[in-house]
Amino acid sequence: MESIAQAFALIFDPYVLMVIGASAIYGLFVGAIPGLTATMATALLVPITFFMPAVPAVAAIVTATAMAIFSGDIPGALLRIPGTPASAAYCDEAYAMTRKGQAELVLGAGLVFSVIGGIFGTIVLVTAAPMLADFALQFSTFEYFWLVLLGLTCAVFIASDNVVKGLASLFIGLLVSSVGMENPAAHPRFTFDTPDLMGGVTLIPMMVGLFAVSEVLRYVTSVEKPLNLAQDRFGSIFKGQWALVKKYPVQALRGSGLGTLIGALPGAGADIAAWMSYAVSKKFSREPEKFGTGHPEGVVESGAANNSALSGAWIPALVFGIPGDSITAIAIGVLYMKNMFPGPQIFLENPQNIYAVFIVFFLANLLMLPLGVLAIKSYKQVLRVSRAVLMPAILVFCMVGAFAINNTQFDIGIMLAFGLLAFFMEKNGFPVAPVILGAVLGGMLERHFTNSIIKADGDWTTFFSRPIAGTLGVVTVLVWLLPAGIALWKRSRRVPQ
Amino acid sequence: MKIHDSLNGALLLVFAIALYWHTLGFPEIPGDPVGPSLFPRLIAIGMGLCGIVLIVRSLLSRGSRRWFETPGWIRVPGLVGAFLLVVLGLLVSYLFLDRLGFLVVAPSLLVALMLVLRVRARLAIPVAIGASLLIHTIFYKGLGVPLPWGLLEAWAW
Repeated sequence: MESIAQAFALIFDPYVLMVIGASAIYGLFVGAIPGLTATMATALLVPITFFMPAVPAVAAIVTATAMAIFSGDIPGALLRIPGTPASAAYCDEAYAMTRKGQAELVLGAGLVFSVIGGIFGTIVLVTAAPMLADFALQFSTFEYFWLVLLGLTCAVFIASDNVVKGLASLFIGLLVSSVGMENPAAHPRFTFDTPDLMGGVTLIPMMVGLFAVSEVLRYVTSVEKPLNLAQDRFGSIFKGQWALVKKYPVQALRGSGLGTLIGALPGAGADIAAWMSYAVSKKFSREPEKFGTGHPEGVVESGAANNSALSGAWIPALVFGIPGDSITAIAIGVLYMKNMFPGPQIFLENPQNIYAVFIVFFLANLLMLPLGVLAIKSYKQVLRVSRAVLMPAILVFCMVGAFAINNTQFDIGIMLAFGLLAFFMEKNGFPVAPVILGAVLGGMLERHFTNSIIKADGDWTTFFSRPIAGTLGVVTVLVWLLPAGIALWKRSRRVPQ
Repeated sequence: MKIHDSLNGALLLVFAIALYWHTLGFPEIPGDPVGPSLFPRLIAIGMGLCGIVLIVRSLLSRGSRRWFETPGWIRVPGLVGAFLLVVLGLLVSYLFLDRLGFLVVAPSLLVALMLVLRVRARLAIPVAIGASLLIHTIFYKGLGVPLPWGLLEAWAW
């Protein structure tokens, strides 16, 4: 009880509230600009949060991303361009509704069901995380080894379209994590006598490169099309929303539930949650023929799913230190740099910090209602900001951000290298998210593996001899065999009887 | 730039072999059954396998046989210029930020990039100076980041 009171005191501090307010406006703005993603919003925030204490830093990330995922719906509905990839699943549907004169209804649905999804995900986070943490206290290095491996496996085998390319990306990330002296043997690996690499590749410049510089490169190499707003004046945003809530309660709950679950899977985030929920919504709909013609059902379900996925992603992140998506991977990177290591211990040692994160989630989702309306109403003005002016400014901000972490120019080079790498990877169909997951989790994977093998005195079977570790191990191996199993199953069905 | 998947695979394979070869120089640590080389070697093997699968799969598939696909933007001089400017700007910052100074590099990069992106000069120049000063104030004064003054050292404030 005392820690809950402490958590409230931590959040309702004028400085933290100011950070939350500013991040909310920032998140809404970034999400609403086509071409700027929620992940980019996080990567750009990191250099600033680096200078904050842990709670406001996490609050800034949580608030900005929740807002950005919602506001990505606005250009989807009004320009037919998703503001963030998480809105892509139902962008055409939303635009079709706008063309039917239902812009207020679809934007309102985006907002209201984002809030519902966000709050649902938060409730699951608040209930599940402490229980899981309690359970995770019994874990030893064996369980952690399998858990990290399972997380990385899910990121590649479930979240990637192309497993081989996803794996290659993951290996790049793991390789990055092995640079430097911070390995169990303390031997300088891949440092090439560069003092700047002795401590390893600094994660923040790498993230800024992967998620922000690559976006700038993509922007400058694309021909900018004029943005034509389908509608720029709006009536009441909330009109008709209650009717939607009454008409689609199952869809809202199903979207929120599926979204939270997908968010909690490592590697899969809000965008995959939205695509899957839209497909589920259509499959179970009584009126599937209306999908694609400007029908709100899919928007309700997947709009709730993408916001609930954000909260879901924090479950494994807080409990095990295993990020659920790229955004939490970045957030974990920030916490590491503050020497705050997420895991079950944090629930015992600093429960007030965990409760504070929970409060921020509720606050951010509630704040979304008034600020979201404001964002919709002022969208015409937001679009006046020229991207040709904004992108160069973002680039300079990235440069300073990378420099600021260690006050070294070397990190600008790291950022550039990863920016180019991500640009090249994206053009060739290699997913970028596994790189960051590998880089964040690689050290943990190697450390738990080495400690386990030393404890087991070289006996590999020990990895399967503890009940939880064994189960996790078997599940991991099953996920590896999944693609081969699916291929065999498909082939067997193709053989004529 | 999009290159054929078999070449992507070959690149991965060559890199993986070089990586494995590099790890052969890592020492054995007495009493440590794993040592510093196991993890990178497993990565190299995994990467190499991915490379081989990509090569085999793309050669077996009936898709495009073009090794390189030049993207559309390569033929638009303005877009190529903007791409090179971003890379060059960051490269110059990486190599010479200390000698040139933030308040020299940032406004120059901003103006150049905005002009290439067809922002009018009368907007680009004040925005470049304003944005550079704002970012400098936030980081240098507000957050205490020692952004280098370089050529402007004598006028540092």
